[in-house]
This record gives sequence, C-alpha cells and structure tokens, in this order.
Amino acid sequence: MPDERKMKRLIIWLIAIIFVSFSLAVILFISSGDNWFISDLPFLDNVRHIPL
Amino acid sequence: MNQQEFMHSLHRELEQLPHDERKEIMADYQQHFLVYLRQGKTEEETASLLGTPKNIARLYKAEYRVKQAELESSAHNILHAVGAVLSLGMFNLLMVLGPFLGMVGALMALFCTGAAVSLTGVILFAGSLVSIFQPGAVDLPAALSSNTLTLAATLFMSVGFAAMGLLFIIGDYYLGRIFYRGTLRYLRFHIRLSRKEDPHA
Repeated sequence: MPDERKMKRLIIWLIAIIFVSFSLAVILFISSGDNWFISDLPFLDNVRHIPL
Repeated sequence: MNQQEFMHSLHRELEQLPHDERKEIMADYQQHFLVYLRQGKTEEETASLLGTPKNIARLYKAEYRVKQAELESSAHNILHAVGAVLSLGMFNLLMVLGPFLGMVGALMALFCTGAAVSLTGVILFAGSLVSIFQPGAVDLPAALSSNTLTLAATLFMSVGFAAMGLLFIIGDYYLGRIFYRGTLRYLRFHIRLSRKEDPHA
C-alpha cells in the first residue's frame, strides 16, 4: 500500500471522479430526452424536451 | 510434581518461544519456587500453587503471539495470536472467535462489494465505449443505450461506479487496520483476564 499522503490524494481524486462523472451522467441522461431516468419525474416535463 | 519435573515440563511447553524469553520465564519460576520453599512449603505444594505448566505456557505463548502481531502486522500473525488466545479456555473460544469471525466476514463482504461495483463499472465502460463506435456490437439494455447521449451518460456512470468500487476497497483497507488494532487490544484484555485467574504467570 502507498504511504498516507499518496493514499489521501488518491481518495480525494476518487471522490472528485465520482462526483464529476455522476453529475455528468445525470445531466446527460436528462438532456438525452424521454427515457427511464426522467420518465417518472413529471416536474421535469419542461426539461425533457430540450432541443439539442 | 516436584520442582525438577515442573521446570522440565514448563521448559518443554515453552519450546515455541524464543530462547531468551524462555530463559527469563524459567528464571521467574525458579524464583517463585525459592520464595515458596523459604516460606516452608514443599516442592509439590509450590508446584500446585503455581498451576500446571501447560496452562502457564499457554498464557505466555498467547502473550508472545500478540506481541508478534503488534510488531509485524500480517494476517498470519493475527491468526496465530487469535489461535493462541483461544487455547486459553472455553470462555475465550466463545467471546473471541465469534466476534472475530463476524468482523472478518463483514470485511470480506465489504471487499467483495467494492470489487463487484468496480468490475461492473469497468464492464459497463467497455460496453458503452464499444456501443458508441459500433452501435449494436454489444447488447446493452435499451435504457442505457437508446441514443448517443444516453450512451455517453452510461459511460460517465460506469467511470463513477469503477471509482466508487475502488473507494469501497480503500475504505475496507482502513477498516481492516482499525479491526486489526482493535482485535489486538481485545486479545490483550482476554490475556489480562486469564492472568487474574493465574496471578503467578
């Protein structure tokens, strides 16, 4: 196992990757149109058909 | 059992310990004999007061194993330490083995969860990447690959899963370290309890 400092840096990187990738995934899913991800969210009706 | 038999038996039981440590323990017991004999007790009475060499040796072996596990952290050492403490009695078998196996099981389950989440991410990443360049090459669920944007979202989601699995495994490693230290303290506590029952050891 790497030393503590490297480990801390790795954990911060992993948290950043998780945050960024899931955020992007959510944005892309919503902007991709009518799909399973947003079909049950009626309040997102106006977001669902963003012209791309 | 006279003094010579007692000392011979104790020496044999302590064979697994390093020479110096064994010598020190033997000197201690020689001293105990001297003190009791001066008080007017016979060798046999002293031997029965000191306890059986087997039980005495078990206590010292347990202490030595725990010390070894503290000096060098390894699965081999902790298993030996737990095994040595278990040999101290039925009470330890119940109070040490149960919680130890439970915690090891939980840590292993957490590790497997992390590995599974990570692997899911890697497989999903490969699948969605192939699907972007060659649609239809991989049979992905329609919900994850209905169009290019959904595929891109799946790609990012898979990266998130892979990173999350790795984070799980790292968390498991830190939990394992806490568990290792906690186990050693718990073993020490059980050795102290056994010592109270056998004040000469």
